[in-house]
Amino acid sequence: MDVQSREIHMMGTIIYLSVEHDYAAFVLEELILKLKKYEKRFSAHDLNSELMEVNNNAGIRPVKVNQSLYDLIKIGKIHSTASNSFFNITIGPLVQAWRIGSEDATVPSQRKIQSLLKTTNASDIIFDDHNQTVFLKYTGMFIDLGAIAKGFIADLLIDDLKSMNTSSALINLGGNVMVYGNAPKHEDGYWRIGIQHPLEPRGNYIVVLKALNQSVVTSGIYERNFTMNNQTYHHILDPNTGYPIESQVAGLTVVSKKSIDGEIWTSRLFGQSPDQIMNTLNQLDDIEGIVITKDAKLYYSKSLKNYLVEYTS
Amino acid sequence: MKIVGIVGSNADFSYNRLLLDFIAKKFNKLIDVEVLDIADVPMFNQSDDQTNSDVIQDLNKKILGADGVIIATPEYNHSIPSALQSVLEWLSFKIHPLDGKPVMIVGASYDVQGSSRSQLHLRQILDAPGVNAVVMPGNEFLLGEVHKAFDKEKNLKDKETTQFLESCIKKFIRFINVVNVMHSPDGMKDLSSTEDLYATGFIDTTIKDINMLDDDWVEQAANKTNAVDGNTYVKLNRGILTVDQINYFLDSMPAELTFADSNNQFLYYNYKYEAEDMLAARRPEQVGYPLAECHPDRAYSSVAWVIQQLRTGKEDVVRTHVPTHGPDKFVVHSYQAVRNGEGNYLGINEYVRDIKPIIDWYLEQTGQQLTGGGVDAVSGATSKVDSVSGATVKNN
Repeated sequence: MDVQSREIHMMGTIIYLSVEHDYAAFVLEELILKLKKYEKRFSAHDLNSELMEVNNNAGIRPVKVNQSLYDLIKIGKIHSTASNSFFNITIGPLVQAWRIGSEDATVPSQRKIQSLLKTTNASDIIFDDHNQTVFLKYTGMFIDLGAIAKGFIADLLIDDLKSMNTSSALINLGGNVMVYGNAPKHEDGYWRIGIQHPLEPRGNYIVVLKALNQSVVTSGIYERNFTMNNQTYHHILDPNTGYPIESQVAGLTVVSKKSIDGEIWTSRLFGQSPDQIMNTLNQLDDIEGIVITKDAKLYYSKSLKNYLVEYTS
Repeated sequence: MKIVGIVGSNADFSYNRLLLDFIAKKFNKLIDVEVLDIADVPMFNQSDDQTNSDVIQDLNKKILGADGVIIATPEYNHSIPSALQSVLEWLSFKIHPLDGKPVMIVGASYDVQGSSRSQLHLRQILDAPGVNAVVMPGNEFLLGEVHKAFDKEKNLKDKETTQFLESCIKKFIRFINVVNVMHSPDGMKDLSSTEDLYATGFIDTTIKDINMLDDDWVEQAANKTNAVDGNTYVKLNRGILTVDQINYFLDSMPAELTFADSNNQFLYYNYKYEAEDMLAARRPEQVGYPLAECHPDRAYSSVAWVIQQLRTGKEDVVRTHVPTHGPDKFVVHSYQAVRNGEGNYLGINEYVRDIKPIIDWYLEQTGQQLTGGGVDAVSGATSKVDSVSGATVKNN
């Protein structure tokens, strides 16, 4: 059987696909076509996407959208409005004001933040199940599914791979990793997924996780930040205050069956203390996690113990 | 995916060219289209063979190098323009670049029924044995009332037409993949007929009138050509060596070298070990054999496929790992195209070697270790950030 892989630049990141199949090249082409379709459907940037139409009609009128987008926005709202959740699909206006990650990052005025908080409340997304419409109550609101769309897309791609009778596959959507079937290179069939060390350059792992038919999603403050007046600001914003999160946690990895769960829970929990995070994860079925603090301490779910290999380079 | 678009009209202004340009521009994320004109192609004439003219050779090379071809045809008198017919005649006379090539037909015309008859006719022509293209069935894209179809920016005005065109293009990409699967080495189609593995033809350097299967073919051929040997000097690029020196030099190469010419005749190997001691067994009496006699029947299709990759210029080298030598060796067969200064295919340099000692040496020298069996991927927090900051930039 043939193993082939492809690296492409899409969705603002580097995507790596590897497939084991009699006609692996054919499957890869097919996957890339699917990816393009999904990207267009869930992108907040594509001017012609349905999501853009919802955003453009904020405060004006409800917009009818297709089923999968409708479902995804609904999932997004549920987890954005849950108590203690740091996840918010309507945080966009605040992200724009801070611009952390771009060259002209800035600290917005207190007043501006206060006024923007009014347009970043996910409970102001109004659904109509009968007509399958989405309506944003106030002008200036907008939905960005960037934090969960990749997970949703990864899950869809796995379904596509199954329908094409693929033996095994690895999908890496810019650090959001999903593995399917037995790893061809390892006798025990488990894939080796390195967990990025938050304090070291890219490509250095703090541990290696053995994964099988699982998704591994990592969130971290180590990627983007900026410093102004001796204060370092990170890119993850607290939806309640509008300011970047102060946290001891440098990296949070969630291991789950579905990639969307990984994205939801990394986003919801990032910002809480390591103990709180581990507590919450222990109560969830089939969802495990790894926390790395700023002083490089490692916490992880008990059930992961036999699947982690400490990495020394 | 590389696509060649052929404009079916030789008129100075062509709506079919406009259509192909639009396809090239609009779908540039899906396919890479090069639009070719046929205005300079001479009228086909069997008695005045212009196959080797630059314009026909250019078409030939570009079609051979492409993954697929889109032909855009207008309709003249219920058929295709004579210019297009003439091109297809050249491309099925002495050369056959469209043979097995996935082709999609589109057409634009003034009428409402735009080009449907000429498309049907073109299908029949492309299906003729000399052309033998693989035309995508169904998905007929015809653009009627073409003078009203484009806006000032040369884009199609009608959104639904554009969407239908997009769906046709996507199906064509899949179609190309399916055709490729058909042509794959272990696939369903037998490719052995694509190459003359029995070397029935001859090239300038073929030594004629000697039975290729004779065990002493080398001696007979040497006699016939008065081939030099021993201490005779031979001038090379760049140097002078005796034949003995050339032999010892080639024997010292850290690989088993084999040369077969473009007529698929096995002409040379650096004979140093007996067959049983070689990584890929060769026997002295095999030299001179056509390639068909050097391989079992079941391998013909793969052998032909490899030669086709090299001959058509799709690949410069095709490599395969042959795992039958145990874990302490990593034996690679490399089939390297031999080309002359103009890039024309002269034959194959097959070199077989165990690359494990080189990798071991590299690891020892650099103190590195292989992590294959190590990590398959790294989970980190890249792109979430990228997509959010992307939104920031675009929404301002």
